[in-house]
Amino acid sequence: MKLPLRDRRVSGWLFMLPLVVVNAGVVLVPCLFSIWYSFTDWTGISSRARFVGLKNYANLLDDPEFAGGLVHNVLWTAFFLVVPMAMGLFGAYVLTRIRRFRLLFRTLYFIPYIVASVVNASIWRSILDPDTGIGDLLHINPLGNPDLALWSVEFVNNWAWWGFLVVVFLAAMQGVNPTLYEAAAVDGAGALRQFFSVTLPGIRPTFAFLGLMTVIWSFLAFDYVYILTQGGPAGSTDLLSTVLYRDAFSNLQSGYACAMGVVMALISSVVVTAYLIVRTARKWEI
Amino acid sequence: MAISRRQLIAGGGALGAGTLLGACGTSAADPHTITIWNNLPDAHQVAYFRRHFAEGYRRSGGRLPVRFTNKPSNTIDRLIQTSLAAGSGPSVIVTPGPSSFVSAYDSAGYLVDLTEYAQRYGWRRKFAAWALAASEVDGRLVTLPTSYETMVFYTNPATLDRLGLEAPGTREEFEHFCAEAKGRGLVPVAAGNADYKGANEWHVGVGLNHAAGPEAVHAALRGETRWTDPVFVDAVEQLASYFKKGWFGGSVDRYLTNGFPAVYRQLANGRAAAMISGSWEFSNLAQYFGKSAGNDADWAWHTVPSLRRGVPTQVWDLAIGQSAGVNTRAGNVAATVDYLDFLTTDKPAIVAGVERVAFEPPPIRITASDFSEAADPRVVRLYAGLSAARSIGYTTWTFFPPTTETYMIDYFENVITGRMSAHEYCAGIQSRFAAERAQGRVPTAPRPDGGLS
Amino acid sequence: MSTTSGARATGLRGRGRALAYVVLTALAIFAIGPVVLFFFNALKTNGEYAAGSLGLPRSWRWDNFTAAWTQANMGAGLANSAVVVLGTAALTCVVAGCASYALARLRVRGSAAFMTYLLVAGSLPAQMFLMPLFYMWSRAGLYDSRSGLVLIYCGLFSPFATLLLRSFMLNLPREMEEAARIDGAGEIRVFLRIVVPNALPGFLTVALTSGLSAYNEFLFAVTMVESDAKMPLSTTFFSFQQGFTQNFTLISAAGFIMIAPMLVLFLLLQRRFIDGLSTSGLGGV
Repeated sequence: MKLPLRDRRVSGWLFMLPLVVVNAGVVLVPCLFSIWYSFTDWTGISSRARFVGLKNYANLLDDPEFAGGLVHNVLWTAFFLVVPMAMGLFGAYVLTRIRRFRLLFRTLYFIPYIVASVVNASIWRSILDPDTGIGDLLHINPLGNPDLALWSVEFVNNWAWWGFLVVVFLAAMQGVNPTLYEAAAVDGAGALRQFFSVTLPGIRPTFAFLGLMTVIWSFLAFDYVYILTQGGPAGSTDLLSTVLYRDAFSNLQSGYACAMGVVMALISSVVVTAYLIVRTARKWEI
Repeated sequence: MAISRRQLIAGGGALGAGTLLGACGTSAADPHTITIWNNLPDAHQVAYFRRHFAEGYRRSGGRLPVRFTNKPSNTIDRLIQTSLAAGSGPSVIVTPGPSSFVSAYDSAGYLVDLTEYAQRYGWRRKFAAWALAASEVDGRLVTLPTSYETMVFYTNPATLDRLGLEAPGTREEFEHFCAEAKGRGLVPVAAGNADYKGANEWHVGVGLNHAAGPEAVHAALRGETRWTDPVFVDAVEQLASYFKKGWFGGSVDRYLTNGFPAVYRQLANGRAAAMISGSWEFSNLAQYFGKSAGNDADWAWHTVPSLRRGVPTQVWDLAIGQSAGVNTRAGNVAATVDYLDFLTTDKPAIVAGVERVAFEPPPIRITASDFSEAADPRVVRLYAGLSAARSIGYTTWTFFPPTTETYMIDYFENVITGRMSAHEYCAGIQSRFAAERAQGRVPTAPRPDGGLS
Repeated sequence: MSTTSGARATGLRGRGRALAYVVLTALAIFAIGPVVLFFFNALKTNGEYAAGSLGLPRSWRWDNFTAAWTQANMGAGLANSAVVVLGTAALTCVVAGCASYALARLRVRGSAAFMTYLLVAGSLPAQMFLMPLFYMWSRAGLYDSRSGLVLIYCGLFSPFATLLLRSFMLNLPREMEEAARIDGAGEIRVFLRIVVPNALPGFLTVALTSGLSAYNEFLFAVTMVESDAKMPLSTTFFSFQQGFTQNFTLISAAGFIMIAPMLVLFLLLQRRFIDGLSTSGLGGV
């Protein structure tokens, strides 16, 4: 018997169907396969895969590249939780305090975000060139120096990212109740104090959400490292994603790469779960 | 970008070109066409191939038309792997040497066993024995070497005259050469791996063959000695010290960010005194020297100097720059093998390619007399010298097994930046090499005085 | 609901304000300077570039752009990118639109859990499922095809697009829909006749953001497409800048050609882009 479309629960899942199908095909099923392959010795160039149990995971523990990648990812996350967030908050806050040209500034800051990462990397590689760019002027070669390379790549990625944060924070700040500011001003708080006592608490849900996304996206960072340094020099910019890509495509160790992917996914899941727990506990409105 | 070895080749020797337009929508299963992908560096060579090796094959009685597509050097391996895994792939599969990827492709069943064809086509007569031996996996011939090359020491004669230096032959001369050049503000040996990380293994190979010496390397390749023996640790230490002194690239950080154009330019405009690289550079250098580059610079090559007393001053490091196999899923396997034979053994076409566009020939027997009057004397001298070699070395991309080779590339930077000691590096080589040796993945190495026959 | 006037209420005065403008301008130069430099480099000759990449071009070589266009095969790349971008935007709008309607208006059991799943799915590293996805696509004949790439992008971007549209729809007034339902309209009609037209701004935002992401996307474009004839711009540009004879002026020109369409689109529609992203966008869970 055909159910009338007015039955909202059935039609609800009918409307969800396209998303479920696409998501299952592109993300869910491959992930499940990945988990399976992580327990095999799959090379990636043929469908032959022998079960090897936990061997890949055990090897991960001994792998200096994995350890290095993990450390660099943590450093990357720390950087991105601080620098672009600070710049974004700062830029947005100053923008709320001026009257004119706000839209112009906002547009200009956003432009690096819409430029493709391949092109950004090209732009900065030319700027940092030790023979012709700033590198020549300042006699530095950051991309060739294992101690500076990671910071340099982070710097380039940050350049493309912080404008996005400015825009998001600006919108959030514009939703803060103005009377709170007036009250604070009456209490004698200057612009700086108002920022900490009124603005930050006022945008906390957005701030927390972006913090979460920063942590998650830091684990996914790939493009800039791959294009600028491929993980060098001397492995100092290797992130988990580039190690994984290399193991899968150059070293023909796809089963091992899948194991690494599973571990990365587990780390992400832990972070998301922690965030959701805190959010439900504190009942934030996001 | 494949961090494994991908040669910058001046033409995978005689790999044919075909017609056209690329796009490989044609899967290997088309029985009426032979498809081949190659990674030639410039349009000139691509055009030459097309004319002389696709149409050339047909003209000389080839059975089927050949369709050729050129791919970038740093993606061709991955593209081949993904298309093989996707069930198609070109009829002719190229690899950056006889060891990279070959055993993996072979165990996945992608390569036709060519052993029985060897008899029919007389390959054992035509190719240098060492080259075919290196192309075998488990005693079966699975690829044919399509280009061979060696490491040389490049100089710009005008620069040397200016400095009052001569190309070095011994360790003392080399160290004096570099110190003198550095003292005068030049880069002693132009070098850079920013465009291709595999450049690391060129230098490691030179260090092993010329500082430890071919006898030592040969013994270790056969498992008679270990890579952690002092002779190797000292060689790596010595090489690393050269890098740390800024003799390669000008400084370690410059080495890590110099691309090839920068390296060639330095040699051409006199900012560098020398360059150590492979004979494949003959074609790459052409664009940076002479009228087309807007200068009057010229280049010359010498054998790589000995870096330790006791190592001969003329050691020719042997290398197979590219190998080619036949896809088991090729539309017409027999025709493809026939084509492969044409590519690798048709001497007139091959020599013409060497002369005109600086392709690298396969390791078939070529002597000075095979070249015409119009040939570049530097090229003639190279192949004459190679065929008369009394002492040969073992390049890492030809005679070392794949995982070991990848390790040597990946971790060399740790040594020159001081993050890893030479001893640790060699220990890493030893552990991987021993494992692969046990799996039978080490190619057969000829004797160090074996010459090219 | 507060408006922008709230922020203006306590603006800075005098020296504080001047300082603010100085800082903001410095940041603007930081943001735009490199792009401008890039444009200048595209106009230099090789010799000028070698002398220094930070100065103005002396001879304005506009022909670098035409040279880059042909050498880097930008025409084909642009056409392919256009196909992929439009396809992704359209498909994502459809998929996310339907799903967000269900989540916003229809009572779907397990919707909270599903939304959590979407959040997690959107945070998985692509490399984790890259290889198996590649295998599946090859078996399905979707490897090396633009439609295969469109499907992948839709799968990657629809979670966040759904959450975005959902929060947008939640803010729409329900009266018209309720009226229609009372009049006997089925869900599909309510959706197509009422919700979609009202939610057009949200759809536009989804189209713009997923289109932008598809245009700029690098990893899957480089891995999933092998034929030169089908490569989108990110791949053709990447190969071009890795090429052997690297001519930075041409690379700069090619890069600028690549970002030009998006820049123009952005400048024309910046309100929509930014507002959509920042307001309803991020908050969506």
